[in-house]
Amino acid sequence: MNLYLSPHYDDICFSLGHYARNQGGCIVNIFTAGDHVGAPLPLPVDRAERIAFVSDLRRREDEAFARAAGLERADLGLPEPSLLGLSPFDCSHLGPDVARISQRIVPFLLDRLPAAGDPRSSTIYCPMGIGGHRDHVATLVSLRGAFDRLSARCTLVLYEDLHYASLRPAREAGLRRAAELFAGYELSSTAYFMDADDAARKMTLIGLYASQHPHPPQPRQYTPASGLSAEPHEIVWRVDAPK
Amino acid sequence: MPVLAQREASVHACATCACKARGDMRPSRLTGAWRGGRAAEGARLESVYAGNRIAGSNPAPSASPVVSPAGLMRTMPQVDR
Repeated sequence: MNLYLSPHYDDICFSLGHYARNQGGCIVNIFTAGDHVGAPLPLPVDRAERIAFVSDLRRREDEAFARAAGLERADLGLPEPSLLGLSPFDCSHLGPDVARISQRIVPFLLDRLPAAGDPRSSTIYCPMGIGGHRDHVATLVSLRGAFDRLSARCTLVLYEDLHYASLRPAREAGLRRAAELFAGYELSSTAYFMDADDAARKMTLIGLYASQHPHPPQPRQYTPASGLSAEPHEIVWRVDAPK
Repeated sequence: MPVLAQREASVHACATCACKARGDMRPSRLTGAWRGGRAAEGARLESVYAGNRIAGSNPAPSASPVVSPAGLMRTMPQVDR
């Protein structure tokens, strides 16, 4: 069983679209109420109507992605920070966010993970928080807090957040933060490369989230600045407890 | 960030030897082989960063404010079910 934690509707597609399409599993969308769009769209003026309109639009985009990629999906219904008057890239005072996410997501995950068996048969994919988006970092911290309970049932894998990880300074800062958050644990990376057909397919999937693109998405925005290869790729980091 | 650069160089070297041909294998865990194409196992972060705290002199990108992991650890709740 693969459970892909997606702070927002588009994060799995952008960060792991190639991998998830091949591996299968269930997208778990966390912050599914919001009013953010990147594309210039006519939106309702009334705030409540705008939130409902954008949330519905983004859900439909995600449903299209899930269908195209053969993935299941679940929405947890939490509000994005902007709806609570918080700046998306202000990671101060995360405690309430982390508590809110943990209370929602940990029971959800425990319900879906097999209670017994080989923990390697199930994997949770969690954002690394690269880019410093409040929702991504809070999700990472929540999973860190639940690691001991979850690790008996599954493997935890962190994925590099795209498009943020396409910028080297943001990627390096994010890797440092994740490594320190999991200090004492071992994080082992694996890069998954795409050939030309795979890369084109992923860009088509990314295009399904049309409301989020102020400009046509470019392939270089959707591969980590790892220095590994000019080939498009996605990178994940498996978390192993200290031996 | 010279240390990271060195580690990524080692990933690059690994990418050559750990590449697997396209196949239909579906691994039960993350390994170098999977059904989606070529994969490469690479760097490990623990040996690079453990105990090496973020220094205030490290610049952070504008979209990625420095967040103290120690501060983040304090925000982790215990959730009972």
